[in-house]
Amino acid sequence: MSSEMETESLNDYNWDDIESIPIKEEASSALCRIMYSEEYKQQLGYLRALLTKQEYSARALLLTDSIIDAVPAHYTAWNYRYNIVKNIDRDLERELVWCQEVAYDKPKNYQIWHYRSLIIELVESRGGSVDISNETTISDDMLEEDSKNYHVWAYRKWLVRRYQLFRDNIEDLTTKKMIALDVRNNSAWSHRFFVMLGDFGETRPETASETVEQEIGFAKIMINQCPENPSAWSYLQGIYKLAKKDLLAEKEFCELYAVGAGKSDQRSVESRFSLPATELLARIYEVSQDNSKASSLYSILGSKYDPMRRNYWEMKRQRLDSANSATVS
Amino acid sequence: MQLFREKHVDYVKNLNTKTDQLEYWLTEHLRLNGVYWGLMALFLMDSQDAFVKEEVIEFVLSCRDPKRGGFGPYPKHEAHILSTLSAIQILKLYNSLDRLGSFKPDLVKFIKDLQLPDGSFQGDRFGEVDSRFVYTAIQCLSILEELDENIASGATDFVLRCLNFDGGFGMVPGAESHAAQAFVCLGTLSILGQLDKLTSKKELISSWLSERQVANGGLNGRPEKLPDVCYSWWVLTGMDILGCLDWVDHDKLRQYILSCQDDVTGGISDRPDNQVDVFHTVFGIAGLSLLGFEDLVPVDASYCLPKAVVATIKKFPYEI
Repeated sequence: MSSEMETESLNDYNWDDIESIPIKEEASSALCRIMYSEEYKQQLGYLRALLTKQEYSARALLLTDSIIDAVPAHYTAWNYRYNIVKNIDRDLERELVWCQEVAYDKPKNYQIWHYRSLIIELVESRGGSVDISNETTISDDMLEEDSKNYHVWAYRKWLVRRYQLFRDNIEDLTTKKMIALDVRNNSAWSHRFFVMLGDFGETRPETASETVEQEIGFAKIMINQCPENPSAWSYLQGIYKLAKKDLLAEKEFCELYAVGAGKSDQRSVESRFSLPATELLARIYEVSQDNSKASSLYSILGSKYDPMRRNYWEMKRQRLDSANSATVS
Repeated sequence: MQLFREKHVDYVKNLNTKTDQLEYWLTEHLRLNGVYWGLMALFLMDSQDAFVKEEVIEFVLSCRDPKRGGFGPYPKHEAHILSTLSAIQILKLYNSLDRLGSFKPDLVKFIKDLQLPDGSFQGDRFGEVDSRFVYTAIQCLSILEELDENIASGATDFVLRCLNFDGGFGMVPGAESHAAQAFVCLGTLSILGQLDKLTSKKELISSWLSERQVANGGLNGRPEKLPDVCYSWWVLTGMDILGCLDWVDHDKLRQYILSCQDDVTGGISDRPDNQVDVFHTVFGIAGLSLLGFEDLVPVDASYCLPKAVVATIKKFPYEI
């Protein structure tokens, strides 16, 4: 229950004028009836009745609080709440505080983030403004609890886009911090890509190329820490693709961590083996027409290092070999 | 291990008799979706007679929101695109779309009006945008055979914008790649006959999907996340649509899904020894069907309906 529920209860309101609309009679054989279930069923009955009347009131607002508390994904209750807030001149700052409490209380409540963005839009459409740093703090708090909370990250991206926070210092530091805490946190990598390069092509060319070089460097530092991390390799390749740069430049870097690259004798394969490095190296060999090297990498990936996907590696190897024989003949 | 077919049929059949349990009431907002999940599981096991057809159809029609024209998840709830698709899928499964009768024009209008200028769809008037809703709306219109060029091109453009640098798809453009979003985006393109728009990116997408298999054979939704039975559907469908279903290990995945069955109550859970639910039950079974195991009714990856049912839907673009 959110804190408003602690100070205010549905019983504080008079419901005598409301005839709850139940859906159907219960089976009389119900033996293990749960009291809370009765209470919740009654609330659903009230909700149906109030919706039918289209009542916008303080008690209706409280009712939605209670229903959303029980069932965070109750779309009808969310829509209804939004309409009530708009129609009863609800203090929007209080509504944002309510959102925050619901979020902290129920981290898996996904609807709250879209709802919060609607309230912010409402505030701004009425000429008001919100403190962005407060929004950042709230989402930081949430991500501290669950560093991969999809909807909190989506909300964070909404903020970045809406308030043009690309390459913003706080976003930079936050993602760096989160990647440092868990280098395999794909959500943090995804956010960083968005923050750093989400407006690529819209910025000054100098800014773009500076960012590209900086982020290639960052990705490689992180790969050095954990060479088998697919998120960092995706990030690196994503930048090359976006900036249309030639991946050949990373051949030697890949060779540091790939199997069968001729340097494996310089290190312990087990400790440094990286599947993404090997795959990327094979691609680089392929592009530079070094087909026999590429083919042997695909072969060893399918047979030894990644047998669950052997058909994938086999497809790549066969395609290469048939291209090879086509050129020879 | 085998599929506990009879137990699963009983499990689904009994779902609606648990009205004395709190869980039943807490899932009211998903009831129509739940009916579809249950019915679809039964169809895949060729046991659809476990539900009384006329009762189900009556319930579907009672969920119609007369003000909006779409369907809510339960009588007197507001119409939402997710429950609307469930309603249409159920009627299609029962070959009973004609029961929409005079409701159909308003229904089509409800769905089409949810499309925004950028081609995306919101779930309802509330305005939440998610590539899931695009897929849902497109499948609705496809089953109703009411797609048009304008809607299709907008939806295609939006879905393509959800494709990320890593080969996955996100909830909205820029959002983190997630296997469930790959399913809805690829499903949309497949239904609209627009898969060729992916051109050179097909292999990267397929590769991202195949990387979802983890050591125990299960599939996850994002890198470094735990496997979950429902991803058997979200991931496999994308691979099937792109023609690379064999890039993951089928036997290991089958073992994983079967290990999530409850051998006492029936039903399938997300992970071994967890509480079963109808959602994971249907997507576990649908995954097995897609892999060709357990002698199940063949399922269509783009629609999550039996192939025989999908064969009766007019393909877009329509011939004049």
